[in-house]
Amino acid sequence: MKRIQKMMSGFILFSAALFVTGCSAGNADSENSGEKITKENVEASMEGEKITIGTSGVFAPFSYYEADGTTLTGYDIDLLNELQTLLGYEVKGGEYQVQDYAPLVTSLTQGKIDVAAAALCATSERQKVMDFTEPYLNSGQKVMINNQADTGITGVDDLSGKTVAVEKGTASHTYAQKNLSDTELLTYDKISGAYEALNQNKVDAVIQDAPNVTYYVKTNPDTTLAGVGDEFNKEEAPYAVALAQDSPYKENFEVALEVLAENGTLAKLQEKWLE
Amino acid sequence: MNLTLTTLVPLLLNGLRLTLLVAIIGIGIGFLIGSLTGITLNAKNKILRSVASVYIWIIRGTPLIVQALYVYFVIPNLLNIDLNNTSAGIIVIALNSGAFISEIVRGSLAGVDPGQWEAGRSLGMTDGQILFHFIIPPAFRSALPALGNQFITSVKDTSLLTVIAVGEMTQQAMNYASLSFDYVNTYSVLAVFYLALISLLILGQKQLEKRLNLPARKKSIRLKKIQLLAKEEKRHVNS
Repeated sequence: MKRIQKMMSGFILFSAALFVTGCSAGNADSENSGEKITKENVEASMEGEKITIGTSGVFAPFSYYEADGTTLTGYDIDLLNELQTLLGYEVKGGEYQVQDYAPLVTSLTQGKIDVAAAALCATSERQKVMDFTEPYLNSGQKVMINNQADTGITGVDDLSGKTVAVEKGTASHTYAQKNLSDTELLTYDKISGAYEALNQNKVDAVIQDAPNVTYYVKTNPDTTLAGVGDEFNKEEAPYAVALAQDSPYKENFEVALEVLAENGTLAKLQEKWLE
Repeated sequence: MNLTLTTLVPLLLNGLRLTLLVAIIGIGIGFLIGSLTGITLNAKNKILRSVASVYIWIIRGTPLIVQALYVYFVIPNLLNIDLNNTSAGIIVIALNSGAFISEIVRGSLAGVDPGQWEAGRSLGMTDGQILFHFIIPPAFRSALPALGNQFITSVKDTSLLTVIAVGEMTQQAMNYASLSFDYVNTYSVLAVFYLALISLLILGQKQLEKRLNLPARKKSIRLKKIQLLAKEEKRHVNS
C-alpha cells in the first residue's frame, strides 16, 4: 500500500512538473522598450530576442519539405527568413517548430509558440484566441473533384448531399461546418489524406485553399483531380502571420510586413511561388 | 455558429455510437479470429500453424495506426475495391484484436491440465468432444482476465482510427476542439466519456468472473474444504 502511495505521489509530482514547464515555456519575454515601432526604426528592433517560431511543413507551396524530406521550403519559409533578416531576432532552438495545423493552432493559443507563418487564415474564430498581423496574401477556398467520377459537381453550390473531405482545423473545415449542413463531412489529419480519399473516390469532393489545389494539380501532371468553380470565402480567409495572444512583438511584425510589401519583397515571393 | 458544451455532448454521443459499433463488431470478429488461430497454434498441422504465426507476427509487429492507414488507403488501391472508413476501422480492430486474442487463447489452452485429455479419453469421448467439454471451459475461465484487458485495449484503440477519419468519439472531439479552440473542456469531457465507458466494461468483466468462479473464490472454497478436513481429523484423533 505504501509503495502505491509513493508511486502515486511521484506521479502527481511528475505531472505537476510537466504543467509548470508547459506554462513557463509559453511566457514570451514581455519587456517592451515602450518606443513606438515605425518603418524607420523597425530594422533590427528585435535584436537579442529569442522567439519560438512554428510552421506546418505540410502545405505546399507555402510551407513544405523538399523532395529530400528534410529541407523546409516555400513561400512562408522565405517570408520568415526575410522577417528574421529585417527584425534581427534569434530562433529559439535554432530551427522552426514543425507541427500540423491543429496542434500548431493549439500551441499558438497556449503561447507555446510565439509566432507562426504557415499560410494561416486569419478567420474570425481564430482571431478570438490569437493575434494576427495584417494579411500578406488574399486566398480563397476551392472545390476539388476527381474527373474519373461523374458527380456533377461544378462548384461549391453543388455539394449538398455529397461526401466532402477537408483537413481538420483549416479554414475549409470551418467553412464546411458552417455552410454545408447537408453534406457528409470527413475530416482528415492531413490534406494528403483528403486528396488520396478523393483519388480513390472515397469522397466526392475536397475543399481546400485555392493555392494548394493549384499547386497539387501543377505538380501532379497525371492526376485526374482538378479544381472546379470559382474561389470562394475569399474575404474570410486571408493569410497572415499569427502571434500568440497579446504578443509584445505584434507591432514589430506588422511594420516589418509593411516594409516588405513596400520594397517589393512580397511581390517577388508571389512571383516565385504562386505563378 | 455558437459552439458551446451543449453542442459538444450531442457530438460525443454521436461519436459514442460509432465507437461502440466499431468496437463491438470489431472485437466480436476479432474474438472469432483469435479463437480459431489460437486453436490452430496448438494444432499438429504445420502449414496452418505457420499461416497463423505469420498473421500474428505482422499484426504484433506493426502499430495500429499504420494498420489503419494500410487497410484504408493501400489495400483498396491494390485490390481495386471500395472500402469506406467505418468498414476499414472495423476490419482493423478485428485483425488487431484477433492477433492478440489468439496469443491469449493459445496460452490458456496450453495451460489446461493434460489430465483433462486422459479423463476424456477414458470416458470414450472424441477429441472434439473433449475440447468442447473438458478443455475450453477451464481455458476460457483462466483466459478471462487477459481477454477483458484486451477488450478494454481494443475499445480505446478505436480512438486511433481518427487517422482514417472515422467519426468516433475522439474524432468528434478533435473536430470540435479545432473549430472552437475550447481544448480544456472538450478533452476533459472526452476523457470522462471514455472513463465511464471503460468502467462499465470493467464492471461487466468482474461480474462475469464472479459468475464463472475464478480463483479468488475457488481458493476460499478450497480453504473451507481443508478446514473441514482438519476438523474431521481432529474429531478422529479425539475419539
